[in-house]
Amino acid sequence: MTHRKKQFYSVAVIALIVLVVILLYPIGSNLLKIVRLHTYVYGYSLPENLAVEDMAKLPPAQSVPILTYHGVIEKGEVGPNTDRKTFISQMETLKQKGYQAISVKEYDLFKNGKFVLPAKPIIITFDDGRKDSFYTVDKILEKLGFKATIFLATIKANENDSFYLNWDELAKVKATGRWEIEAHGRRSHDQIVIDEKGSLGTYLTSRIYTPGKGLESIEDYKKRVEADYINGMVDIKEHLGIDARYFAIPLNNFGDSEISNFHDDAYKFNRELTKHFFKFAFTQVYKKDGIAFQNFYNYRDSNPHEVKRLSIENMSSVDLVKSLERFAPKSFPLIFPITNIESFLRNTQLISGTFETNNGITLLSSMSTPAARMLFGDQGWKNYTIKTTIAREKGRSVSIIAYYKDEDNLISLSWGERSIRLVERADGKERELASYYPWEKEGAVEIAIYLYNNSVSVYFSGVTVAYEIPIKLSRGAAGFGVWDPNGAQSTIRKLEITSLNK
Amino acid sequence: MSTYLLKISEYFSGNIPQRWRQLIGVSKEAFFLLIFLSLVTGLVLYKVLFIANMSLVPSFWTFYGLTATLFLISRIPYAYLHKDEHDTVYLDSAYPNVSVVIAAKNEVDGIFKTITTCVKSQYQGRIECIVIDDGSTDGTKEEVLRAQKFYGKGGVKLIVFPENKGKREAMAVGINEAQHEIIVFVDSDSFLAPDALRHITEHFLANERIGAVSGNTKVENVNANTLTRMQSIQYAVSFDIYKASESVHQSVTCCPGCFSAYRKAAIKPLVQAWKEHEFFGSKSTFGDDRGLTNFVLQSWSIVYCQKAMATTVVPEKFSVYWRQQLRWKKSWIREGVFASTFMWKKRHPLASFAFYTNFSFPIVGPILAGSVLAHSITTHNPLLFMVFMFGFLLLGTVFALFVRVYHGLENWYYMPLVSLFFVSVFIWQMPWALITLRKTHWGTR
Repeated sequence: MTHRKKQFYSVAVIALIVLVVILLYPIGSNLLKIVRLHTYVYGYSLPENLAVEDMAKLPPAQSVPILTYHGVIEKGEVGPNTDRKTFISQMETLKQKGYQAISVKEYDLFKNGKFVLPAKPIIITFDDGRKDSFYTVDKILEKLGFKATIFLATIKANENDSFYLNWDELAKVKATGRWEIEAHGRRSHDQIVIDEKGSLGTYLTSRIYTPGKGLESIEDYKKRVEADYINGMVDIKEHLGIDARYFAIPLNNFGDSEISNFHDDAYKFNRELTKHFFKFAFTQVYKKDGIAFQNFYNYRDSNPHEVKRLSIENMSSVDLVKSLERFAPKSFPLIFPITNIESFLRNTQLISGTFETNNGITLLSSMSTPAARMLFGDQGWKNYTIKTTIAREKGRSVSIIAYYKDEDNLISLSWGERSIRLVERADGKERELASYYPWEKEGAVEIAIYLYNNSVSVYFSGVTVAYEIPIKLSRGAAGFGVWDPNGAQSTIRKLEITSLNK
Repeated sequence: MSTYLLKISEYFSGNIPQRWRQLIGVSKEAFFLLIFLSLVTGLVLYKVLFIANMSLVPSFWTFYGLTATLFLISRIPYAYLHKDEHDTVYLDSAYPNVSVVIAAKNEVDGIFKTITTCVKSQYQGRIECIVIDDGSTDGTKEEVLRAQKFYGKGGVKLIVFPENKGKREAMAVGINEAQHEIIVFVDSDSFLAPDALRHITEHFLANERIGAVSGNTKVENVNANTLTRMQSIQYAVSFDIYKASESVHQSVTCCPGCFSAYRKAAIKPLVQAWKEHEFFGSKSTFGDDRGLTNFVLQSWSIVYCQKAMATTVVPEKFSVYWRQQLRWKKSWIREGVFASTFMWKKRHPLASFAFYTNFSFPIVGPILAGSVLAHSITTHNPLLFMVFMFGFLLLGTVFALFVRVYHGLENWYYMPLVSLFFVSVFIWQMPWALITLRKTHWGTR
């Protein structure tokens, strides 16, 4: 064969091969997908000595803690993700401690009285729909019998971004039966230009700035943002046949943090939209010193549009347990002074201000934090008595809180130099239940508050301020607050919270 | 019934008409060609799929994967397009005289046969055979003297080192003694085909830029055992694919010691430098062939002659083979580092690309295989390693089938075994070779 002929043959054969490869590419691509689905799955085997606490005798829980994850990664910088070894240890620890993962749907049913929670329920969620939310995780959940939820920002699947799960993969995720897939917007994580300097803001909370045209109109903003909520749901419905009813707030931001050129209105508008479209909206709580700083347990009557989650990241399983125990439902009675300061701290939660526990609980507020508040017990508490001795040392006002759910739902007994007021705040609306005026006393006061069967009675240093006044709220934590624009300070000398149930 | 049985037995005993046999032969070749082409297509598809589905974030592995794939797949058309220059017919008087240099140490069994195949070559010019006895303690010297009696002192010269000085020294003395224009190195356990010298010298006639030509060495003791069969495939792939491809840009990086030819004008000025070549302060004893090739490659072209055939005896015992491979790897590193310093400026860009890519394999290969394996184990996912191995086996099989189709390689189906053996055993020699790089004693001798 001459060399020229050889050259011709090679070109012809290469062309033929290219052609065949192009023709076979779709088949091969599907085959590869199948192989990849298997090769990407990270295996996991249960440790032999995984002793699980027996939960059978415990009563059903009345609240659910919720965890947020992003990626679970095998190598590389951890950042906001979770190292796979840490994740395994977290999950195994939860299993050992008797936790049972439930779905968001089951929490929804529980809220409607149609589902009985296990003794130690937990909800595990993953934001964004990354590949490493599933492939590195699924086998672990499967072996431990856990469930999880993905909040999916659909643009990545639409664009077939290889870092994220595509629709084929998501169908497989759904088919496992372990995973729920819910809404997280479509382009909701995009960065947009918000001023002439080219600063970037988040998609849902800012108005787009276009050079030459200026800011988009409020009307356009609203159309765009509403469309993104709808598109996210439509994508999920179209590709997976799921009616998404739950929504994780993208970037945990409604305009209240990060860079935005439309703070207040965006906040209000996004709130309206989530309320309009979704049964639940999920937010995240803050952490401090590596553990949860705010409550991430959700009760039957918790605000459905502010479902609290703890973004767990690479927290050690020890810190995870600490976080869970810190906010776990508390048991009566809570008595102070007590010898075990550790157990006392576990039962209290400082919302703002600072406190000392030397010879009483001294709560302090400074000028930078005009109101200081701490809570005792938890949102599930009902029918109890608070008996306390308090000395106001500095500042205009001191208050004892009862049935605290959040700042919009509480009962507050507050007194200053001249008057005593008992108010109820329900759904943000304040109503005065009783007041006493004029009142003057120096030094410590003794207070007793009875909360029983939707009524409140208050005895204040021998005076009956209120007697069985009906209230709307039916449960919540007790608390203690001080307030003064120039800093306040009061001390609880004695505190006793006891149950009125048998 | 019995007639049928007879016919079948005739069929299998080979008593079938010539026509049939031809037909069977042709369809067999066509069958292999078809399998080969299908496998190549499969390989390309496999690679394209992986590249198309690689992470969009460019990493070292993305880049390396692309480079390695491009290099490996391009070996096939390259090897196919390799042209063995034998188009011109030369006058008998045009053929230059040849000095064959044989460095021998304790080769009593093979040396007589080696000398015979050289001296008895069908060659138009004169052949002088210079044997350097590098301090043999067996009857090597007597065997050479016996050959001298047979073929005359003019044809066979003997130089005796009273004690062992090493192969480099022996070859250097041989080069100095050589009278003729072309110097051919033959190992003391290698045997030339009758027309090998004629084919190999034709390259020097065809192009005066050519400084060296690598012969095509096959395994003499192929059918001794599985190990030698496996080595025969290793030889076939390394000559008929790697050397053939390198030859397209006239940049063959190793003219093996078992059978290669050099223009005396190309090596004479380099002998001293080559003999005293040092690597990080330690004298380069083995890897003499690769070393000499490197020196020549800096200013001359080097090609591979597929038609110049020789055979060589390969290790039959695993331990000997292991030591030989370790030695080769060490010289690969040492001479590879040396070659890296000039390839990019002295040779064709595509030849350099191929060289640097190929040079990286033994270094990156263990890391890649090791990390895939470790990943597969830590994630309890055997399929991951299997997919990796599948690609590796497919590539090996395609190479072996190529040689089967175009050069009639027997035992090609041992290739998957060779690949498995390579990944499970020999790939891990590299780290060891790196650690013991400065230990320079011979293993097989």
